Amino acid sequence: MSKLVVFKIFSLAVFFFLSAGGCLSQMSSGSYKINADSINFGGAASSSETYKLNDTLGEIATGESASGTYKMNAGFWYMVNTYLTLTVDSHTKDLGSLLAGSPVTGQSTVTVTTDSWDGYSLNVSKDHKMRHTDGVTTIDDHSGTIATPLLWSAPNNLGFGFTVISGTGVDAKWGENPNYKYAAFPDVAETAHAKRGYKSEADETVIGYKADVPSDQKSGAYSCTITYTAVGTI
Amino acid sequence: MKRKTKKRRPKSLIEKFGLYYSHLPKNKRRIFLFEIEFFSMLGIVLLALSSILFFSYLESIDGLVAGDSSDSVTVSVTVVSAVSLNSPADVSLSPEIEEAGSTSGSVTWNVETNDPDGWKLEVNASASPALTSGGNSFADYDEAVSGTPEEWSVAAADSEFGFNSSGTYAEAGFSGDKYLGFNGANRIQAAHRNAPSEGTGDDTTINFKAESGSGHSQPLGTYTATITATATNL
Repeated sequence: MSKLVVFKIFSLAVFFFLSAGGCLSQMSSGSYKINADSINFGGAASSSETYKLNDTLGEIATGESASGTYKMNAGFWYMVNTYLTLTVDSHTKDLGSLLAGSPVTGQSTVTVTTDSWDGYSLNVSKDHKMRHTDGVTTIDDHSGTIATPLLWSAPNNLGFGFTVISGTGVDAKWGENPNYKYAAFPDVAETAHAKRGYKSEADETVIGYKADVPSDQKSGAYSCTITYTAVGTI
Repeated sequence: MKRKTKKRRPKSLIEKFGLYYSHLPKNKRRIFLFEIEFFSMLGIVLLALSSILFFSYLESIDGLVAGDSSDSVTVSVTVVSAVSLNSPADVSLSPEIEEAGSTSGSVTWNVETNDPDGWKLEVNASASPALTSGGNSFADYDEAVSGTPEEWSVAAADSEFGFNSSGTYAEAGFSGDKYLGFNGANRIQAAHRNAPSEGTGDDTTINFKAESGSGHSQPLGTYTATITATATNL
């Protein structure tokens, strides 16, 4: 009888192993990609009003170790939690005086440093349209979108927009000097640039601004705040 | 005589099961079959549960990102005030004056500005008197109170040339078909608006009038006046 019990336990173990192993071997498909996985016996993301906890149970030999040259962080959460910082070269950018029909330009350099092994996405958004100090009058957004940037030429030569001038792996949709293509800053963050792969040093992306207005645009000072967000890719 | 021992082939698991089953008392065989059925079902149920738990876990991991970092920049631009004025065609007064009589004509100027404070339109003549032909001339209209428009009235012995303005933004003093005379190069305000122009701009019409009194003999000739209009943002 004891052999039979052993057989039953063995059969169930084989079932579990095959089911789990079969799933874990599917690391990518046409629609999804699993960049980090861990075979253990538990874990999940959980939270309360005050705290958030992501845990795994049963991982072996996790933790930090280092030599003179290398540093290793072993374990699932080291794969999905990365160091990432973003800075913009200046928190104010004055495009100067704009006379209708003579567009003005400017640029910001966004610097991202991360140890993410699959790079990062650079998201952009604005708080509102370029707005006059009267609090009401605005400069229209450029007619291009991040999905489909447009050349700065009639009838798409008015408004406030941006382009990606330079960076690592800039998408060809942004064009090249002097034929950059422009898009309006979205109200809700959208990815304007994605940098794939690991880079040991800081990564710089130069964003170009451009603005022009119709002749009846109310004179005066306009401004808006652009937010850049880098999101690590896992 | 040495007894020949037959080496027995080890029994397979199924054979062992069969042997075990055949040796069971009949009343325990049903229990044995029930156990087999029970553990098979249990295995299937546990397999299903493990799959559900596994994919639930994957789903929770799917929502994880490697963290983000943000920075912002305030972009500003100053739209400068500009004012523009069109260049209408020359105008010939009609009808021709034969010894005595009056003649008139008009021209429309269009002002466009983005200045929130608005614009003003002034006119002046290049000479004094304004309407001349060689050494001959029409006197500038001589209003009773200098600088105050009045209804057109020319004495029989005189010949005079003057103007008024009409349109939404004409100076109120000209209403009621009242006229002023030019004052050489000195600018006379014909219209104004305390707001930026709208649409394609704001029109103001300058109406010219010349008259030779019934008792006056105006020398023959073609008389011309060069009138300059100036638009200024307020």
